[in-house]
Amino acid sequence: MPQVVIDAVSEFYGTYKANVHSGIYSIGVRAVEAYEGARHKVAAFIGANDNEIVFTSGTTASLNMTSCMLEPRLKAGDEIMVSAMEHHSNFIPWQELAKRTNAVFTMLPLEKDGSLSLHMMRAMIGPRTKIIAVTHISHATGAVNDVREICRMAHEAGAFCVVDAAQSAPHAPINVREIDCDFLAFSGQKMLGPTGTGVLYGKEEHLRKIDPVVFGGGMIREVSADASTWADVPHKFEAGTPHVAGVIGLGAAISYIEGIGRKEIMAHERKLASLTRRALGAMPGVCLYGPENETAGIVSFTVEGTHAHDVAEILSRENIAVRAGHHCALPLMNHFGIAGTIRASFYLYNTPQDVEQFIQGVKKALDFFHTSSSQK
Amino acid sequence: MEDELYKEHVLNHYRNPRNKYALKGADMVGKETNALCGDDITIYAHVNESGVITAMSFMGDGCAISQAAASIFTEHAKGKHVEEINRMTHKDMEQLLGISLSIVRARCAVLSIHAFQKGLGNLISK
Repeated sequence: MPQVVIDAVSEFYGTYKANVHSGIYSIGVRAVEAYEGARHKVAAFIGANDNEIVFTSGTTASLNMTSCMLEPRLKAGDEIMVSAMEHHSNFIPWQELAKRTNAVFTMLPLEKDGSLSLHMMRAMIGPRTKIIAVTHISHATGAVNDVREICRMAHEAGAFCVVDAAQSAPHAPINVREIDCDFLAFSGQKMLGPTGTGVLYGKEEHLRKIDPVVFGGGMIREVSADASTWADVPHKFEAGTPHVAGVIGLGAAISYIEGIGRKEIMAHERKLASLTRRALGAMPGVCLYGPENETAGIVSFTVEGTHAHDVAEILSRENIAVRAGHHCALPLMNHFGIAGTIRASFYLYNTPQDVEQFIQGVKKALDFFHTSSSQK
Repeated sequence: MEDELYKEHVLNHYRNPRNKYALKGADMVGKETNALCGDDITIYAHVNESGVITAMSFMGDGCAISQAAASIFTEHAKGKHVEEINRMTHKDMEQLLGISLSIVRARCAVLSIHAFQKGLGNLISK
């Protein structure tokens, strides 16, 4: 994590730790300024207005919240559509929402290489389709979805389009006006920010009309025994004490990322990923997953005859941290007919030397299990 | 130098698993999966009237640790009372494997104990 992020969090706790929107004492005011300042940074980061940004505890919380917020808009027989490449956090909330409302839950099948077929999607969207939830970039394969076109198709059918940007926000430029999504979610912890921070973007026109689903302090206008009314957007969606320190840290992380530039970050990661894919592709017994014309810095693969966790264990000894397993994307693993993959996920701090070390590590894992098996 | 985790003994059981088949007419069958890894183990056993395990086998897929542990577990359990096996913990499994496990990998090793416990639950409730 960049020192500036740690410093921002530490400065808050060390010098002006106070709740937001409650005190008129000086540090309370400073906390509000910093917290709302971070909101402004997040809004600018994705091309939104400040009042379209709701802070949550992460992408999972953002997507669960959206699914509850849209519940009153659904009736029995309506359709919710998700893709087979979704992370469980953009899959289960919709599956559960369908269950609660007797809506139809449809999973969009994928092409053989794990990419989304817009052609098939176009054919499947119908007049009953009310919500389409899809990831911008697959965290498991790096496949990039044309979310702009998906949103266009959704709107043509009169459906909401919800975009999971957990994988894309740290790595790719995002403009919610260009994408024209209705909701978009991402996490701070995947973009050099603190854990427990997340963002939900919602179009202002929706956020104004939609009722909150979490209630308590900080989100009300009036409260009486008869009924209560809500604060303005976005505050009506932020009940309780938010993760003030984390949000301030997220603001610092965004400034750090903006200082480098997401286009530059993406180009850097693409270079590293393509080096890795080339080297792995030449290794016997290694199988690569995901579309070949990758645009995201992710390389997902399996090693024949060796479990992903055993490969990860050997890599860990070389100080290489990879995610191994099903990546919380079981429908995608089922699509590929595998239990899991090993995933190398690059970011701005990785270097070509890291790629070299990684390839050597995979070779070691191959040798290790291959040699052991030949001792039968 | 021998690997600390993947000891020869462990790798040997992984590569040449003992008792890896579905025991015909088993008195108890229990399956457990590890949602984290996608590993699965099914334990089959014959249990006599005094509660002694007279035969045990397993089927499954997964990492070296989960599969080696299952193989070693079936060898260990044969001839022992179900209650004794039912009480086994990850510490016992570490001892059988002869390795120490991190909190993450311990879940792989205890998968066969949990599968056994599930199977035993089914047997008792019969």
